[in-house]
Amino acid sequence: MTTARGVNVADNASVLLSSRASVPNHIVYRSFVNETVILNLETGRYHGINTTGGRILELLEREGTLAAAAARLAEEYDRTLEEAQRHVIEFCNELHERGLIAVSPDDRG
Amino acid sequence: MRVVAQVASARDLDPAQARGLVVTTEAPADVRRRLPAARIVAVVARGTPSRRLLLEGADGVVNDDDGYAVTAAATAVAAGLVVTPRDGRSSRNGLTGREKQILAMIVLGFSNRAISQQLHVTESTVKSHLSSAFRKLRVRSRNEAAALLMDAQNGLGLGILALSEES
Repeated sequence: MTTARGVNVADNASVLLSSRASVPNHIVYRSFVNETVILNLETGRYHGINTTGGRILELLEREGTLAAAAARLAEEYDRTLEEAQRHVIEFCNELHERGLIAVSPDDRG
Repeated sequence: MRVVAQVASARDLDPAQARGLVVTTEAPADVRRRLPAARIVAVVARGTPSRRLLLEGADGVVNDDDGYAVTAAATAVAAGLVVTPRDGRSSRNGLTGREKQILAMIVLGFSNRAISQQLHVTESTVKSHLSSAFRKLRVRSRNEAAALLMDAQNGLGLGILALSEES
């Protein structure tokens, strides 16, 4: 569960555990055996992420909030919840910075 | 540097003369094997991918229906330049933004239906864009297009699908 580089979570208050992440319409992705490839249709650029990143992306789409995705990830990869949460936030920060996911507050109450 | 042959077989050339310029319709790889130090101008049918010919050992590529370009290319290559036709595959291909988007999804293995749903257009529109893109890339199928785009060494590479200059 690694990301390309560390991100100071405190610097990006828009991505929180309670946030909901979604994949915008102009982003498509496809998982292969060893990697997941994300395509930004607005730029024509491909982005490669490892299989764990691909799994996080799937969980974000399915579970909605970062917190729920992290809880599921901790189970699947046998990691502590805190560790999974840190990875999910770092990963989402990177994707958000690159415009590959949309992040919004969890407004379900 | 002197011209040792023009638009002719280099088969009979003496390897001792290999430091000259060869303008040939033969496969550059064959000529390069026999004349490793020669400057080679490959004369090919219009549409032949220049990049592959350069990788095979050509120093210049010229279309066989462009007589004036042969002399110019030979002069340029003799002067140490690398020459390719303006309309070669490795140059700008005229793909529209929509064609690039659809090709980019083809590379990832998306079906026409999935592409039409993602881009909010009909499947026949997707097919129409694909036909146009295939014509421009001079390929006949999605597999051939994907192979050409994914092969950065001998093909085009995915970079040609970029839609913005900074990307």
